[in-house]
Amino acid sequence: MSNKNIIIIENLNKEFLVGKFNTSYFFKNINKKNSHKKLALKNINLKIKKGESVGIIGKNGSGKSTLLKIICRITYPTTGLIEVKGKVTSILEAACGFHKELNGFENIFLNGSILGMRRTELESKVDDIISFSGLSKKDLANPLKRFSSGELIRLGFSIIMHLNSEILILDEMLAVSDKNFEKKSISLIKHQIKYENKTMLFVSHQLHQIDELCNRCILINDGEIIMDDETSKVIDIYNKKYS
Amino acid sequence: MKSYYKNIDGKITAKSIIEDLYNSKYVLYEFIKRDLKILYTQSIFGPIFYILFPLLQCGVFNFIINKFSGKTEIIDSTFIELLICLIFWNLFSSNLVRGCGILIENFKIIKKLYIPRLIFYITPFFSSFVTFIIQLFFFISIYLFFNENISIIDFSLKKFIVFLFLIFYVFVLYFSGSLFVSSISIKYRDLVYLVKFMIQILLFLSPVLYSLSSLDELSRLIIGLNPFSLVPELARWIFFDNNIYLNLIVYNLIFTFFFFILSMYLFIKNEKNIADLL
Repeated sequence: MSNKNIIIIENLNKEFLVGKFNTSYFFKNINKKNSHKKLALKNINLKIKKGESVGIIGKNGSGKSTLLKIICRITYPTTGLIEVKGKVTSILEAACGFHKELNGFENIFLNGSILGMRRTELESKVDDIISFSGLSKKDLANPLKRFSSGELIRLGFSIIMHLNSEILILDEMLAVSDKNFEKKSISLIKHQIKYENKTMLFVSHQLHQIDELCNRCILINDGEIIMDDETSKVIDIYNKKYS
Repeated sequence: MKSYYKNIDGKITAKSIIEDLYNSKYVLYEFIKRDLKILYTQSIFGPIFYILFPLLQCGVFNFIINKFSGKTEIIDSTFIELLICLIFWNLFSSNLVRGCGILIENFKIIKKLYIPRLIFYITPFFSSFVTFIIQLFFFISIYLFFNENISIIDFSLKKFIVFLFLIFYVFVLYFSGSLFVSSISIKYRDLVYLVKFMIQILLFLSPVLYSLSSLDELSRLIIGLNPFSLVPELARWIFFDNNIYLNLIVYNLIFTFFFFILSMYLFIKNEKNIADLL
């Protein structure tokens, strides 16, 4: 079971239109003049096995997030094949499904269902989520607009940590929370990788986190996979050449 | 494996869309709940607005109509007729305006998470459907109060089925209208602004304030071309036994069917660009 490929990407290209677009004066289309196409991802070939935890590192704008967005179907590849076997949940932002007017409990259900949980599942996990977030029930009864931004992210993250999906994609998730919460989250992620056989993809600029969590790491530069190897080797190369 | 998807050059099939929608019924439920909870937060009157708005709207229109035709009663048969037509009209128009801008309203979620995008279009209808039901009960109580010789049992099954169909028709019309507009306006947002303006004019171009039978042949044909014209006409037939024009109704049904297919096609074609262009 553990040797099965869960994500297969073959010859994948993604083209973006950059420059001045989405504007036109009257019927004269100025798009073609001012914009050009840019390959955000070039010929990506990638196989990820079930139960692996893979880190993705690279400079800003190198295409890490675009790759993640394609894996979880937010955008579509221009050419190429992508196969995903299993339920993917991508978290590019912890608090994006929340609604400011609803209170904490209601938001747990709202965001949980947006992230793909069923109602019965949520009902059984809601106590775990609350205790993991470290917020009191009194706090949670407030509407979300009264929460501090740190509390918001903690609540969002504890929902994410209780998802049941087979593949979890985390983009810059742990960078924003405080030290204690970060420790707690990392130990929970480790537990999930080890015992629940979840596949995880991390994008992070905090290399020590990647080092701690992943045994395999991918280095992306300018839309191409430069290296795909053990984490320590990739981080060495990245530190020498790309930063 | 519970869910599985394979994607070659970004192709989407009709079957995958339906499966996706079925799998995310919980999201729909939570979205509707969210909409209902936030509708009248921090307001004093709250749910009273459900009834107050159509009543005020109806009163003003009725006053104007009666002023021109020289009647003096405040509540008469035109008032009740107007009420049901306006309830249907509000169900359609408020949803259409919201539906056209729904991608922009939810762009935060669309850019960060994958849930089937059609869910966003279904949500407004169902959350405003609660409003519709409350208004409908209000209408029926007025209707029975002023028509003492009619009881609810007199309603034939045929009329009841037509009534259910009417709600479904409004949904399809709203759904295809907002899909059509928003899939075109992913890139250029002109149509969204146009619809917000046009919806005010469309009220007068559809037989809400008057019935088709009060018009002459030519204007009846022109007004009848509007696909919404079927709704108030059939509503009048259900509650007041007005004449209906079958050829116009058949035309409207055919039009809406093809409009639905066209807008679904446009939406599926444009769906893969939504997150890139929004």
